[in-house]
Amino acid sequence: MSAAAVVDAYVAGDPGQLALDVVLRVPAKSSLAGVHVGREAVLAALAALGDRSADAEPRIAARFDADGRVLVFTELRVGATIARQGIVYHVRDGAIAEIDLFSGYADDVTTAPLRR
Amino acid sequence: MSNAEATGFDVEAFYQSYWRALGSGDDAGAVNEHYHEDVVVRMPGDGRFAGEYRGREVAIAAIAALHEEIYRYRVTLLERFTDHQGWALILDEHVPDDADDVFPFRRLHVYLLRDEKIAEVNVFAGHCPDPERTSWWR
Repeated sequence: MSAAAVVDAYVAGDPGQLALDVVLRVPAKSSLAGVHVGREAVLAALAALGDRSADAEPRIAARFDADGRVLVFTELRVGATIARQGIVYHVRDGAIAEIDLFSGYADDVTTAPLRR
Repeated sequence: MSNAEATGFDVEAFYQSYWRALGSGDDAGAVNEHYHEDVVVRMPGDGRFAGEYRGREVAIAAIAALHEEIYRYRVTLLERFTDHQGWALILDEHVPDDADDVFPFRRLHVYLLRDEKIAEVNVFAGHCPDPERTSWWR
């Protein structure tokens, strides 16, 4: 399966696309800032981030698919603010091995929805 | 945003042209040649560079001020994504902390094209092992 297909399956709701030793890096100024390791820990962190804006859906402003990795740039309106976030998925051996979150202008990653 | 895919615009060549221009040190020239007149540049955080900058002249001033700061720092390009939309760069900036020790600060830059010019520059802050070590992004 291509990296794009793995990420699509994960975003569609299949946590099994995360490697067992997946690594999630969350930027500073988030209560979950730091490095989270392992599927359970990563899913828990993403669930906690997503809970903060459970009723919102981000707009995908751009998506880049490359060999072994996928980058998604999202925009989410939260009140009068548009929160921007970058997410980079690194796929190895058919599973998401790393997820890097990036926080953009007027954005606090705690307000961005990452439901999965 | 970009119709480069339909027109056959060579985004890779445009990217190379932009970075050569920036590398020459002529920020104004690089912006005037490669940026859309309605460009929007967005810088994250709440430090002195944070904000949204609209229009080429404003972008020139913002980029010049930023480069005056970061030209002193080593920047490592980790990954690049390029397609008809534009390009995205994942970088490690090796910035000094308040004690002048250097450490990596990961950033993401997303450049989106419109009418064969850079119409949006979105800068994102990534993971930093100890963000309190530097006032750069505060």
